[in-house]
Amino acid sequence: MNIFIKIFLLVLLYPVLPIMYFLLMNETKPRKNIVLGVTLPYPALDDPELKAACQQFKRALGKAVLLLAFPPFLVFFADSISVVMFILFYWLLLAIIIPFIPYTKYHRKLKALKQERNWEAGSSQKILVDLKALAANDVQAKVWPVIPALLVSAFPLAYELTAGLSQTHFSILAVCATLLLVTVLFFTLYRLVSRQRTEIIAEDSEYNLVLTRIRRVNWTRFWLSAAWINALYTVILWLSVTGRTVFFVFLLATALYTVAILWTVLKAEFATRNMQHKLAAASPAPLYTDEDRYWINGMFYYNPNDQKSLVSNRVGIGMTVNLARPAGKITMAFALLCLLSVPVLPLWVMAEEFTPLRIEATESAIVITHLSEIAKIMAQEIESVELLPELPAARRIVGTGMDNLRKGTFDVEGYGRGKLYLNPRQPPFLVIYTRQGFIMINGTGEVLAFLEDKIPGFSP
Amino acid sequence: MILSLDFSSETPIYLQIRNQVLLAIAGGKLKPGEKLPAIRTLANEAGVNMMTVNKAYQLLKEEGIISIDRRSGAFVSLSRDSKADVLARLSKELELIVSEAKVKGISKAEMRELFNRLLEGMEEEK
Repeated sequence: MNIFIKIFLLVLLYPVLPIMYFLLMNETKPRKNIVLGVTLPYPALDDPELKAACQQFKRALGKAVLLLAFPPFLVFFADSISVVMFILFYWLLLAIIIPFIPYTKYHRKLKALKQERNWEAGSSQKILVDLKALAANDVQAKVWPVIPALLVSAFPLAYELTAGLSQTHFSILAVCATLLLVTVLFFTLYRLVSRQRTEIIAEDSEYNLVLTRIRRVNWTRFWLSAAWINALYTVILWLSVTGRTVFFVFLLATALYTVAILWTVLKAEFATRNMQHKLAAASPAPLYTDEDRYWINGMFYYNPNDQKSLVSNRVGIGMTVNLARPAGKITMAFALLCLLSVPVLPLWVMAEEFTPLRIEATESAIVITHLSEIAKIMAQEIESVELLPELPAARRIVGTGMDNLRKGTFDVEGYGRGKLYLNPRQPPFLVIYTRQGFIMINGTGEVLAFLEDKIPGFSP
Repeated sequence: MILSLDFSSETPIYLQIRNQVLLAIAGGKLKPGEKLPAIRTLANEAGVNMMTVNKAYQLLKEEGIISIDRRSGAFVSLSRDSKADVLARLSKELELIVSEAKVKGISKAEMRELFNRLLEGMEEEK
């Protein structure tokens, strides 16, 4: 496997670890008056036992992150793509889950401390609403800035559909449709920001009004940028999978896409947090509600009294769903499904890479099997056959392209677009011409004998 | 102005909204002409039914405390009811409160003191 691809994957995925570390470390700094997901009265923030627990959490988190820092570099000792993916994807899953172990431990510790010290803030059945801030902020985000992004994102799918279904490949349509759906999702979230709850940090409505506006401005900007970034990426990915640009452009665009999304999301979050901190400190009469009972482990929101499906996240950045709402349950189930697909993907690639391609001849056809039957060439369909001692350069359009397997649609130098089902390490190769186009396979003894028998004039 | 809705209270939510808006106006926290959130917005924010907020707003409108316009929403707008009408309505409401106090054994002096304290509190807030 190419070393540059390994470096690329590493550069793309490795930042997850420092980001997790940075975000969770930041949870020890009071956000409003929430520390490690536990709401505390303002005087309690200086409690020595609380500070000691935060220090212990920092150390535990540091150890967990240190443990995770080295395994990804094992990719430099692996040769096969599926093993590299196995190492990186399983590491990614652990890098997301493991830092939450010390977080949950110390969250529970602070909760126990809160109960022990009687730091509960009265009835948590209360909901506070700032009437002035709510009336002044009752403005929906405008639709027109996102419309061009939606059109750009829809263009590849529309182009492929107008070109005719017979001319395109299902997986290209699936890629274009998925990325269009992501842009639509970003657009929906952009619109939903203005429906989020008003921030309440003070008795004085002016503070709440300013903070709510700042939060909304930052997050509408983020979702708008994200919709545009995704729209542009849709076009680049489409150009790449249809063979209109070189692979390097796709790699570069993927790296830029990740960096741009991360940069804009962190910018939105920290601009809001800083302002929140300044305003809360400046407010003469700070105010807070204790909603801890609605937060499972300080991470998952479950509040049947709240009709909102999206709320500001307590841990990390952005928004989270209300698991008491049907929309919240569906979103969480989808997110879990995505997370579970992370360990499944390398296993699938491993099966692809290590299952040998079988090319067999029956009475009347050549049957190609790889995990399942993938192609059958009937003898009467074959128009002509060509034997090649070497495989010409080929670029994958749709399918699998590994060092030991070419399976799918490829652009082949000197031949154009056709189907390849072969192991490039096992010459010779056969080009079988049919009415639908050409198919390249390995010229095994069994197949050569079949062709010699069925195709007049063919001799290996 | 912070509206604090207590879901564990026996007082219905619509009455909590009405009472707190009234108190905020009396305390000078909400001023005549000031805009109130739309019914849908407030219901969505508080996580209550739109009918609940609508009921509170209708009550405030009937009492001449707010006005509701289809296009521009709800505003604090103290109607110019004659003083005699307002006094007559309040007298009926107070009669009930005074009767309840009498039944519960609260003396006239205690009632006077309570009333004076409330009036002084309102003056201070203004």
